[in-house]
Amino acid sequence: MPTGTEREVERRRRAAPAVVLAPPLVWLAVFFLIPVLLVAMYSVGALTLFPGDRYLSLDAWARFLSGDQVYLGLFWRSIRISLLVSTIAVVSAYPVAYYLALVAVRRRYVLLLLIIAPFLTSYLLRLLAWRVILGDQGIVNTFLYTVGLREPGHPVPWLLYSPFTVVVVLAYVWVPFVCLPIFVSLDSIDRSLLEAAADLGARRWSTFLRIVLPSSRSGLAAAFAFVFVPTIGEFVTPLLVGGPRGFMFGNAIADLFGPGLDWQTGSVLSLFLVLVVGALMAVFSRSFSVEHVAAIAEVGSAGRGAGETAASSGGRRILAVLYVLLVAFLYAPIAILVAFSFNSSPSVTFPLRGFTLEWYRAFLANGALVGALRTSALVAGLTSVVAVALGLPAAFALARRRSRGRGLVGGILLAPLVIPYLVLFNAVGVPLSPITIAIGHVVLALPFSVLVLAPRLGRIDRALEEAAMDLGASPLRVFARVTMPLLTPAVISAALIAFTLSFDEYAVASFLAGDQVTYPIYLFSQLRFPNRLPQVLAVSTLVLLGSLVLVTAVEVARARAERRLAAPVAVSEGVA
Amino acid sequence: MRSELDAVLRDVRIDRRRFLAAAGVFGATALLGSCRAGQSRQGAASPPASRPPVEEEPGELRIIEWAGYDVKPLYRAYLRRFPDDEPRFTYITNTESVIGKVRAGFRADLVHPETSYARDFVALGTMQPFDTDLLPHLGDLNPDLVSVGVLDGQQYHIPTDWGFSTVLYNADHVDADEQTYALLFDERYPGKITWFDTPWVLIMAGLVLGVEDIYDMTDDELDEVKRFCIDRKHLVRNLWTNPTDLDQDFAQGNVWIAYAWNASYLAALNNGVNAVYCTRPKEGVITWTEGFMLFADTENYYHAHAYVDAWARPETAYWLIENYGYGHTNTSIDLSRLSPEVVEAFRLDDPEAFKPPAHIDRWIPRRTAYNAAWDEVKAA
Repeated sequence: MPTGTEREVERRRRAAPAVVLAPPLVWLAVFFLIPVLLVAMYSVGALTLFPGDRYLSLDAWARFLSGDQVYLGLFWRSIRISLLVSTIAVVSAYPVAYYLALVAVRRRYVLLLLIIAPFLTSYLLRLLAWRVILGDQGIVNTFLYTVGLREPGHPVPWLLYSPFTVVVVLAYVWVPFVCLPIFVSLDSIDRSLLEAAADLGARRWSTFLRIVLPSSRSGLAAAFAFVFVPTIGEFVTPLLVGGPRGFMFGNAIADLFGPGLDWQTGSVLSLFLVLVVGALMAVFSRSFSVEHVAAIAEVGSAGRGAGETAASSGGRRILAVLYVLLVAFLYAPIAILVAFSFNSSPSVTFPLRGFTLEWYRAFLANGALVGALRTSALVAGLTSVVAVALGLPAAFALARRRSRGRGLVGGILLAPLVIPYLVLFNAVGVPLSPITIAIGHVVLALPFSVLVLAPRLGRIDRALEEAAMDLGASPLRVFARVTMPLLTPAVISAALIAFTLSFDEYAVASFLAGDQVTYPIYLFSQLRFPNRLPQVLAVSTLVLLGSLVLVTAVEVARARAERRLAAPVAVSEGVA
Repeated sequence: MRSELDAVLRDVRIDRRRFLAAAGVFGATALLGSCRAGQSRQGAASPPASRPPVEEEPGELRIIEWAGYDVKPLYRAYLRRFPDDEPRFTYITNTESVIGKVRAGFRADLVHPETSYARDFVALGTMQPFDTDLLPHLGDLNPDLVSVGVLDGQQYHIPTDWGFSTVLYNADHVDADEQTYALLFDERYPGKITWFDTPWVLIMAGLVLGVEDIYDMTDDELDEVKRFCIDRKHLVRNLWTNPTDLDQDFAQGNVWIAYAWNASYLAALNNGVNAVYCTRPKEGVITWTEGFMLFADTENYYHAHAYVDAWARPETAYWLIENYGYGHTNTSIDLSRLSPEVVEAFRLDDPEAFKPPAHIDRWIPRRTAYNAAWDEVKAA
């Protein structure tokens, strides 16, 4: 009987990866690969927008690849900008994530959520606020006039509507998202290693360079991919702040599917992007390998700081200042939105005219807007649950399986980051509803969820799980009582990212929405009537308030859960 | 028309076959799509005889509409007639994506596109003409604009709202002797000009350069206007994508000369800018129009007509002009109710406003070439 059980356990363990990998792969096959094939058909004229235009030909591909059109050049321009943005975002997020993970231990979840929370305020509105900051009569230029660095009437011309603006705003958008994976990987570092290094006389810098930095490598790689891949296909930011020289590859795709109604060329560009990014990702997913840290036996020591070994008191102060600066950078545009939501003029232009609550009244009376918010909350909630549920098994496969196909699986999982959403569901023709939006958003959010979960999972000591199995726990029980508690911070991060991503997503949603539109869609279509903008500002203020309340609630719940988990964590540490 | 319809139906069959072939490859999901697509296209041929009377219609109108056009004052007459039939709205962010959705099988009862896209919706085989007898207020609408909604001899499109696409400038900074589109390309104002992000800029450049037919330029002409635009692009501060951007920039002084619609002029006056709106440029003013189109497979044929007629009424016209600064095609309105600035901004007292040399927005046969040229301007 005991031998039978052992064999059973062994058999289940072997079978597990294939079985658990099935749901996310099926999801992506249906909602990602089929659309990609449809795009491929559009690109050679096997499908066309208008029934009468049909002819099979590779001309569109030939024209694109020959470089006679402007599009190939735009592709390189986009790559350059994405590289720049990713580097800036990762470099500025690292010290802050370091501070949160290793120094500011007691309040770190609150501090982390403080970074994420305001991002429930629409991206579009924050872009608008940036224009108030960087405009010719904006805050920065006015400051320069006041201190005499520029002559009044001679603003810095490249502050707004330039590639510079695109880089600043994109970095601004992505920094909080980048914080998360870095935070998670730093948080998983075994504190006793740092203590040991200190005991052996290593300086803080050499501890950082030889232990901390290598251990956070997978988090850094994930963070880089987080920014790099979606920004290659980015088109909304260049459209709104890029000016005449900010045109990027993503804009060309959007134009071809949009005003040009040239779906064939658009499909060529999209498919090219998918292929390039898929290839990049297949290579990239190898850096998920945890072999290089496998020798370090470790236990996720959630909640423990590294105290003196992580930073000197001076260093801690510098890190705290960096954190505050980042928060100020993140909140400045939002403060502007809040101020203008009480301004009695409908125009978002300084100076403020007078105080009013009119816009709040108008919002509450606006059923369509309230409905759009409700739809967005529903879609984002569904997305975060499903993205994490599917992301967990996928992350298991990526982090735990040492099979040859891993690179390919990784590529497939991560490539949806740049799929041309405009056509995704278009050819499928299912009735559109909030569910279809959520389906699309899961495709979008799944890679993010995997990127957050896999590194953490890779560093959980498998001896713990094996010990539990040997003691007779079923795999499910092992997962629930051992693996899951250790994964909790990563799960929270993944769910938050998925929620935020979905709540603010416009491009996919606009194609998948039926009668019930989401908040960003409503907002975008609203821009046609400038005098309806202030009530949208009122909403964003309320959403911000709501998300701050949510942050507090999450923190309270987490603190309670931690107390409950205290016992099992102690046991697992004992085992190690 | 009959032969046109036949052509569409033939296409539907080919399309369906191809779709089924695709479905064989891609599995059940695609199959589902093809069936829907095939099924809904057949609606184009449904005979009028089978139409149920108004009281048997389901009544809950579904309308693909611009956000902001979903407000009750714009369709009050409809609600008076059908108090319990509040319509449901899906929003347009750009008309092209609606074309994509309709191509994919998305259906409603009415859609509100620019007149220049009417031909595309008809080409999809998803629209039917209106019964003009069911639209008592159609006769009040401007005949010059209504005629643009006639395709293949039938009224597929009822233009209700319109505006100019012309030059707006800040007279405190810009010195102009005459009204002209050339201001958008004026070398004296580097960094202070904004264009709308649309191939229509090429058309305006075409007017300035004097091409023969701005809506059907030859390759050489297109190349010429493209090079002209690339040459003048350094003057441009931004390519605006929505009026909110433009109004903000104009009020903040980021730009002095703009490609603009009427509402931006009224907003600029309201923001205290010394604005001039070129409603009579020497090249002839460009006018855009929008209005309703009726889906072929609507189950709310009579409700939909009642809705469009409500939109055609004077009460809707007043509300649209006064609250949004958008023009309305109803010509029976009492101009003394409107402010003189508004009357002048729309040339409402000018019966010649839509006669030549005015250019009414229309379908562009070589749209792909126009767009490719515009992309080159933007990428330059």
